[in-house]
Amino acid sequence: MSPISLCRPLLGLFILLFSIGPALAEEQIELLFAKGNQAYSSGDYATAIASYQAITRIAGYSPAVLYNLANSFAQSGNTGMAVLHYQRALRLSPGDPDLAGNLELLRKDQGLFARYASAAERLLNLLTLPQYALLLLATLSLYTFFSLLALRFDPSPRLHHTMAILAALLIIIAIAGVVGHSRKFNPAVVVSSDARLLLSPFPDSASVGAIQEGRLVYPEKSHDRFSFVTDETGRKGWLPTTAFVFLQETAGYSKD
Amino acid sequence: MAKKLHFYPTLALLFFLLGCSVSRAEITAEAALSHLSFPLDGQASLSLTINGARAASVELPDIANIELHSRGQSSRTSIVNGTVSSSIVYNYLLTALAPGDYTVPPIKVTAGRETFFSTPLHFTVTDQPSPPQAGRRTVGQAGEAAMLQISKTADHYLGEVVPVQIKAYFRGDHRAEIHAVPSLESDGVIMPPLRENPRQSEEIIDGQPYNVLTWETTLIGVKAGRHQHSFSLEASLLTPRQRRAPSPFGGSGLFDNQLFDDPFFDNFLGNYQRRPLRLVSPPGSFNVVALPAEDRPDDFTGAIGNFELAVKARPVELRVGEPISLSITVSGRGNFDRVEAPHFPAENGWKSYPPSGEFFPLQEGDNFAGEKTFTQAIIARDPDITVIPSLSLSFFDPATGRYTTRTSEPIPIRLEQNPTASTVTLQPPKAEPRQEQPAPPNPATIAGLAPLKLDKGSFRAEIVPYPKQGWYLAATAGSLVILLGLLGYGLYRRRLASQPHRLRRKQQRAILREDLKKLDAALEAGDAALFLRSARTAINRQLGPRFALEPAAITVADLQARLPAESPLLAIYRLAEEAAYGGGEELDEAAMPASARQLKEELEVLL
Repeated sequence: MSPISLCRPLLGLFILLFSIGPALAEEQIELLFAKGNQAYSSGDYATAIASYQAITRIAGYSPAVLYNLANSFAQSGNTGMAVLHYQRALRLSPGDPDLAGNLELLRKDQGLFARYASAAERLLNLLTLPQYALLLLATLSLYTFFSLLALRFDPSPRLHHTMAILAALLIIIAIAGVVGHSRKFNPAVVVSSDARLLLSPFPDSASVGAIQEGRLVYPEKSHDRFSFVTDETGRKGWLPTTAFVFLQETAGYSKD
Repeated sequence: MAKKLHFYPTLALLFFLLGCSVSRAEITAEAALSHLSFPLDGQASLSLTINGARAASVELPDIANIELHSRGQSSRTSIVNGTVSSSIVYNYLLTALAPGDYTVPPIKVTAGRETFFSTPLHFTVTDQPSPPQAGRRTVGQAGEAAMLQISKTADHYLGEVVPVQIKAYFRGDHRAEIHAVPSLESDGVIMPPLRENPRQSEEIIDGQPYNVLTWETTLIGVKAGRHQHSFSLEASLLTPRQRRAPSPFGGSGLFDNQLFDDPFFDNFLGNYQRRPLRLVSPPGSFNVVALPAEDRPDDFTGAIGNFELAVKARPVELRVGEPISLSITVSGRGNFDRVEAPHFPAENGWKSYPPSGEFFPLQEGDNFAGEKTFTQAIIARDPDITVIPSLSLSFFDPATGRYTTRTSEPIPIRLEQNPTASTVTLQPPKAEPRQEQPAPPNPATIAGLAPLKLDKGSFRAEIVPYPKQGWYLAATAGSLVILLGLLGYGLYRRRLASQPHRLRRKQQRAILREDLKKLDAALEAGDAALFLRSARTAINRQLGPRFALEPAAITVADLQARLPAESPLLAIYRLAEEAAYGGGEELDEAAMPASARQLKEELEVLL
């Protein structure tokens, strides 16, 4: 028997494994997704959460799975984890009205009111970071396309100038938006229901006050098992690192 | 005109920028301790002053057995004779866990892109009680131009919110400028940030009118023991400057008019003298007593004050499994940040969800008096339930010195047994239940959520923003490269258009390339007539612009007049003319390559 004839069955098995593996995983994800949806519809939120989390472990993040997971957490009264997963889903699908609507509804229901934003902050918050990034790319691409067409059709200088000014304006706005948002791209969400902001990074330190579950916080530095955070209303204090979870999991803080 | 309009604001801006940059002060960081030696049960205030910066970040060092508690910050900017100076003061309370000699290492301060370090501070923590504080200068006697008074404090419990009133008095015939709100100097007592708009009034003290600024605030003892405290206020007093002798001509001359001696003219002319002032209140004593351990209720969460409890429920007539919204209101006076929702007894057929709370102060900025409302969703699972159980709130009443528990009345409810016992997950509380579904194990808590997604969508390994994703970076970089290329091409074209001779040479080169292509084709085909026709056309089109003649109108005579007699172009042209108009010799096929080469060389030299 020649070496080639020996290799042929092994090669076949190799191809079979590589083609069947993803198909099996895909089928498993479909089953888990259907199971999660069914459990949610019948009010069994614990099962729904377990199913969606299993999908995330197997396949990674999808806006739809994160959204369904957030809905399940919201309905089971776990506000912190619900806000966390809505925010994660919004990072992947910033224009989804269901996502934004449900997050707004949950925050309103749980009294998670944001502080009054200044005019500049309101202007900045008209779009999210991904939307500003897409605006930048779209403007660059369209202006490039226009410039290429201009080589062929030679438009009037007036049109050329108008397009250049418009593009420059949009690029400046988009870059300002990206820079403005990037500082706060990866906040953390308070997931503990009885978290308190402390004056010092010690368990028996005096408290600044309670911090609501679901609040966004921006950790600045850490000491031992505490992080110094500023919350979305501007309050500052030390918070145990077990009391919050980052949107984008980072080294040293990673947990689910 | 437009240029003139732009000129003055630009000039003003330039002067402003120059002025600011010239007067920009050097940045320094200074640390200071209120006490270099203090007992273990005492504290010291650490102040870090950063001069010459409007914003800075401070990195506190970790010191073994020493705790640093932030006590806020204050900032100040002043412009004197065009020199702008700014300073920020960060205040910390320093407490020790063990006696010994300690050092506060250099504190790292970052302002802008620069980093500074304060000088190290050495201090000692003793296990002996500290000596009584030396008296300090106070301004507080009636008749003074300005003074600072604080309402009395006495014995208070740890964590108790103690309302105090800070009054700054300025004599009516003086004008004053306040540089910052009053600051507290104390070990173990804290005060929330003061409002920047105090109440203004007038008071008469010993017949002397005073303008009074009043801040209503609270003090909280954070450590048991007796603490000295005082307040200080940075201000400037503007006192009227007395003019010299009213008349330069003595006291009885013609111009010695009493009218102009009136102090009104001192005020009217703005003739004031500025005198910096630091008002310090008389030292006060704040004795912090620990809360009693005996009779402390199990549900005590640290609330100190006097509170009332009211509980409402809605709806009270419903079916089993439908949610009830409990509204729990705690009103009164005290430390509302430690008031938490009463615990709902979730067992015995009830299911409860975490409450959400919101505080409504009686007056804006007053966190001492008001009401805190908690909203909690509860669900009765047992059809035999007839009342919502009573809730209780325990707090420590400093007036009586005892723990008090307020208990709400049980609220009667009427539950209907649903034969099919169901609730819909996403329906609001009053929605009709769907008959065909089984009873849910966990009814929905949020009504009105948008429904689930039925398509699982595409997956990503991690949540990375667009600006950090590969495709985004590649697309952006690609667009930029193309745009830069187009920009370069545009500049090249513009440059070419501004230099007509280069453009013409470029056009001529293109024409020559085209003509030589035809010449090569004729050469390859061995067609002598076509070869000569092409050669003539090439010569015409290259020499026409050079001779400022229409290319088709060029003749042998024109070439003879302008080219040397031995020029190969002349020979080829003559041959081509003769071939074109008949009677001439045919070009030998073997001579065609040499003629072609000569033609190319000659015409390329002309470019």
